[in-house]
Amino acid sequence: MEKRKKRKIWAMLAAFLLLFVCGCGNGSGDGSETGTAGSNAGSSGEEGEDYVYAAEYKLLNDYCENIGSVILGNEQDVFFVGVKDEKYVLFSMKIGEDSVKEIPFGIEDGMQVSAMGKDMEGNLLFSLVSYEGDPEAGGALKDVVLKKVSAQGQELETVNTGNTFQKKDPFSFYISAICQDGEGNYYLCAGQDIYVLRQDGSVYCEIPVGDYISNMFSMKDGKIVAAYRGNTGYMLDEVDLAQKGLKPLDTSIVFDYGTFTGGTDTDLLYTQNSVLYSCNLSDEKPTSLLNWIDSDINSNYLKDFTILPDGRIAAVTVDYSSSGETELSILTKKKRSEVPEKETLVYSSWYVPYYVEKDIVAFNKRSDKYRIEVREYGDDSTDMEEKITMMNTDLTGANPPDIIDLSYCQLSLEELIAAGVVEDITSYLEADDTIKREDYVENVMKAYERDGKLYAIMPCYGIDTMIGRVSDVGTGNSWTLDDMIALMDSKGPDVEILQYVNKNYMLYTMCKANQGLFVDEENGTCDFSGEEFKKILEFANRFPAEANYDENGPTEIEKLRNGQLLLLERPVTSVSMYQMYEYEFGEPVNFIGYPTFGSTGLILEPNSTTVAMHAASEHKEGVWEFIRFNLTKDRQEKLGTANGGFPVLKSALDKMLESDMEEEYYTDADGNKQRTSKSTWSTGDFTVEVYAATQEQVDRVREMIETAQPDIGMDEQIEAIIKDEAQAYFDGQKSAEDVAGLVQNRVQTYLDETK
Amino acid sequence: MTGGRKKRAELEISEDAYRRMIGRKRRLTKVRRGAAAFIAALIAVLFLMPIVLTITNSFMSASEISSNYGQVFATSDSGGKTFISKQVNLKFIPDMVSFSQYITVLFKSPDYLFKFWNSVILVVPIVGFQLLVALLASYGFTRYRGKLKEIIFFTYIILMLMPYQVTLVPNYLVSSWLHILDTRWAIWLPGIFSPFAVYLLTKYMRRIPVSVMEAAQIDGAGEWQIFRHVCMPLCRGCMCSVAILIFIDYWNMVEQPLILLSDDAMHPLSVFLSKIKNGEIGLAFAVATIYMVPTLLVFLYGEDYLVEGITYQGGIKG
Amino acid sequence: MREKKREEKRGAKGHRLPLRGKLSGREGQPGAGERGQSEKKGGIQKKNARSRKLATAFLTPSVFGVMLFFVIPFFVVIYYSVVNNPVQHHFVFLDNFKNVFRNAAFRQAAFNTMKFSVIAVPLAVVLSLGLAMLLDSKIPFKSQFRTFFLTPMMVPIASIVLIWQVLFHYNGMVNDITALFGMDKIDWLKSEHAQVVIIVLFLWKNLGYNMILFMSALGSIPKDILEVAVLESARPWQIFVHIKIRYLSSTILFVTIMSLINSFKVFREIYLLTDDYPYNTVYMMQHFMNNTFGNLDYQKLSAAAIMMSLVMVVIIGILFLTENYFGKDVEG
Repeated sequence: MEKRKKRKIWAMLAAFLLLFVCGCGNGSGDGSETGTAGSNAGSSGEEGEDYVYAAEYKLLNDYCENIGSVILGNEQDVFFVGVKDEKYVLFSMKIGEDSVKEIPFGIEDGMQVSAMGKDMEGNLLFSLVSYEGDPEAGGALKDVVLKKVSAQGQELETVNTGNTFQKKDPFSFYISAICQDGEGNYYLCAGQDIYVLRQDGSVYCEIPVGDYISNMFSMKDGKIVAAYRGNTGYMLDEVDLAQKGLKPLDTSIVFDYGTFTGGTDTDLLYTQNSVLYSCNLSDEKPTSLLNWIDSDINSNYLKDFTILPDGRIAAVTVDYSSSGETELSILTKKKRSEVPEKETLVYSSWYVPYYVEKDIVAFNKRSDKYRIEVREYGDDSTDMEEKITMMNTDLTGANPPDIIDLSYCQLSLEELIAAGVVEDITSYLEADDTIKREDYVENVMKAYERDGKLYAIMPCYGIDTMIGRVSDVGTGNSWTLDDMIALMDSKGPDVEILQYVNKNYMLYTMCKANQGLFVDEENGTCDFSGEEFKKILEFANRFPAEANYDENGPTEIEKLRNGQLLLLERPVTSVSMYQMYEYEFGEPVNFIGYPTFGSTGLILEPNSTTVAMHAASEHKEGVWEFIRFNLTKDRQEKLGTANGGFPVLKSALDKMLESDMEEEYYTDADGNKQRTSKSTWSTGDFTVEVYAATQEQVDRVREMIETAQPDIGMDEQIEAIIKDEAQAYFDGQKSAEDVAGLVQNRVQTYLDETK
Repeated sequence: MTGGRKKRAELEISEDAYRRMIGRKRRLTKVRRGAAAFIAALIAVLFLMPIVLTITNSFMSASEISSNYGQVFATSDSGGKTFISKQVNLKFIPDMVSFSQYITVLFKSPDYLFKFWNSVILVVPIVGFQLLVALLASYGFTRYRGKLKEIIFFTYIILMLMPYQVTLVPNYLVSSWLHILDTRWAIWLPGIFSPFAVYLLTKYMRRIPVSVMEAAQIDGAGEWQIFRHVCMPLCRGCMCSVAILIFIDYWNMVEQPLILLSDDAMHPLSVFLSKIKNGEIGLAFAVATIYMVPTLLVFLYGEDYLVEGITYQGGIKG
Repeated sequence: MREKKREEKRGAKGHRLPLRGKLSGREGQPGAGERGQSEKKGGIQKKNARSRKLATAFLTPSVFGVMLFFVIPFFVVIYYSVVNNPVQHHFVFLDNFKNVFRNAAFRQAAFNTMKFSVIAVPLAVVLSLGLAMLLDSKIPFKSQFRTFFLTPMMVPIASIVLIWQVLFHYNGMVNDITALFGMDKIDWLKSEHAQVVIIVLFLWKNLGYNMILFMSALGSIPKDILEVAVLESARPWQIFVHIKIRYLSSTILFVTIMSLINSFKVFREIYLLTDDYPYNTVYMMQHFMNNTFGNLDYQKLSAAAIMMSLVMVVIIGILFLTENYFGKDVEG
């Protein structure tokens, strides 16, 4: 009887499981569908098993500043327009040579080059524009002149467009490309419109495309083609003069977003998903030539590319994320065996920020001995925790990386040192001929120094601080929690001290700023029993449990200006931020730092590729090469604009601070010298023009840099324990005393263990 | 054991007196049995409570669960404005029976089903092959006993007692030497060769009288035949009970997949269950209930064997 | 139909009983018996040697696997324990052991683990024996109770942890009940009483299995001995101490070993219940090892592991010796 009952239960459960299995079948069906979607992406690597493209690079910014337009000519040459001695100059350079030639092209004062192109014979086309006043301040378009110049600088044609484009708003109207067909008609691409002009400057037709045109170019048969994302997909349309409109190219090839040009031998040469393709319109599918990534070229930066008669490939890239570095790359197809093998350095991180990617690409291009490969853990779907576990096991495992990114390593420097994973780089620094320790800001060098051993150097950094009005926080260099509480008490209850903060955040921030007080790392003891911790608990408890985000409420600047908000907690990465914050507060401000119980509360924050050398690396020299590469004068002087932050090289810092104090001028239409803004800070709510900084501001920033403390991260465990226990206090379950006791108990266990 | 009977004969107690003695005993025990049953019932309630709670709570809606237990699991970053009771309510009966959790688990997110399958794929081979390897080894340990074998057996016991944390690093290293990291082999192989089953089976087999096997040997049976036709049939119950124990053990594994399988698409459901966070508490009970089903099946199917198998182990000697 | 099958089964069981009888009637160790036999039957000695080799061959897959996945790694652990770190490999001999031994957290963990084992393992043995006796007294629904007591083995860890957290929360059920008796609220997992929670958890999980082991052992005590004892007007406690305990001695040792194993396995629950760094009264050896693994401190982990294994070897050794001693006692 009992047996029968049991069988019944068993059968029921089995049926339940069967149901579950059926559900599983459905599930696997879903999975396979999504699987097919991604499979066509990676089919570019069929060609050239044994061939690689070896690249040589040439930075064009060495010849002039502010390169605006660049184009590859038909005769193995490159043309670019840049500013030299505050004048626009057209340069030409033969590929493979180092020298440039200046070519006069008849640009008048007050005119700017908005687009450069070439006609079918290889003559250069320019569209030159002038503005009424400062175009950045909204000065309207005054005049547009088209010019055709031979490669040698002979002026062939000048077309005056008369009043066609006058009074256009420079923000919405911008000529981005110029072409000419075999009959001499000019084609201008401006945003969503194409203008066709006759040789006499009169408008033949205006073609509204309705979508932003990303490329306009001429094919070798003289057809002018526009590329844009239309309603039905990515479109390549030729301009149909008879219909005064566009018609799709007659081809079966499907295109996607990319960079398109007319080919020399084929109809089209284009880049899509970082692969270079060439094709004739009659082809069924394009031929893939190479992947730019293999040659360390960021395909998003591609401006122009062409196949040279000898089969080499020339490309120009403009890196808009930096100061507009314009680079010419020449790619030569070689047998893999002919290319010297580079030693591979493995850089590992669970996240690779853009600046690290940039540094690595720059290093890979410059170094003929080493090549850094990025080992990234997991993908978007991987749990953060797992990525970290993977990275940690790798660090001590059989296959360790050579380079460890300290900014994105979950283990603290102390833990890494204890595990013997990081190498002391002092000896490399001492042996280096050009990198001398005394040339660098000592305070910053010390940030990654432990027990006299140096593990890393941050090339670029900012300073984390609290910012308040001078009238609220005074002009001191530091303040205490009592000061902050007093400030809080002196204001009404509706005044926020910091916005968008909650109890836990304040607890963490205060504990972090004062961790030295509670935790004695050296002796492995802690003391949370003092008044300070209780004070922090009580202080944190004054904040809301959940940060209030009121989307409809007053903006930050409104709150600051009418006194509803007292402090900002922000990084300071440039002197110009003084002006931005003073504008925001509407009053002089002080970067006062975090409230502490004594010491300074300014925190150095790495803002660039900060890496350590793995102790088991077989390419330590190479790792040092990478570290020093980011410290060289050249890189140090250039990194400011890219990363936002101060250089560690003293001379570069001096140069930066000096230039921050220099006023900039421009000459207006009447020939008067006018003060112009150096840069612009713009948020959603306001725009601030930045002018030269004062000596006081520069001095204060220098003082901040020299007194700031290294960012010793709050130990995650201790943070977790404090957060965990404090919850009971915030909930009103336990007294601050009890919580302090529990924190003390658990943290001490932790410290004992790591001792 | 014949000694007992002899003694009774020697006592020469009349049949009558013996009956009376037993009768008094019976009345007494009736009361006692009632009390014993009561106590057993009380303990059974305590033992059953968690399993009943798991099942009943799986029929609660997510909001009911978070309002009941919110205080235990809510950390400050959960956000939202749901009502969270100050008191923690342990409720057996849902306010409203809801299948929403099951619907989510079974039909809406195939993730759980995949993980469930992962569990099956990981555990079944381990149970099967560990049993096979262990059977062979136990036979080897049982058949002839020498000093060396005793030492090896003792080593097995020590290894079996090692907490997993100790073998974790070496396990990882070996897997990486063998290039099986991030594949299921990294879980399967150490599992298959785990000494646990060897220990239990050997203990059991050593209870089988040597004479049984020797008799077969004298009859001309080879070692394989003795193993296959004498030893294995005698061990059926024990095999079953060992299989249940291994199954339960690996069905609930957490650490191994976490360390050895970096691709969480291969992780079993047990790993997911152990990492359940605030928002998924409601699901946790439903998933746990489903996760219990195979164990329950194995259990119901093999309980008799389990008892029987262990019974034989009962009087084990070294 | 079904009835018939059951009959058959019972028959099979019945058939097995004589085997057991034979064994209990046997003199001395099985090993000794085997030796004696091989001396007697010199004729098949040659064949014996061959089959001895063959039987040993049965061991190879297991020994190979265990060597590869457990023994060799263990040597790696030993190696790690005498170098400064797994990257530089400088030989430091016993420094790691000294460091670990001096480490306050290690001592705390060792103390807690020992305390837990010393309390929980005997409790598990005594209580499960009690349960077994309870069920052995022919109460109604015996088999149902047996199943009920086994259910904790089935519950997935996650729900155990969830439910334990709910039970022992500051505002949880246990505190509600103790409040009925006028006791103050206790934050169970963060107090001096934290070990109570994990001991209860451990007992709850393992009593059922232990109980079954005992029940079967109780069942295998020869009935006639008990009957005689009753006839000789032995008191229940006398029967218990002088007969049952003696017959159960080897089971007690087996249960002790199994409980010891399971007392290490319960760490998974403790870990999920608390945290990496719980209140110091529940900071166990496995916390120490888990954390040092997480911090990549392999040398410390290895040293601790080896010390732990040494303690294990000693404990198991003692258990074996006692088992041998008592085993002889019962039979002699």
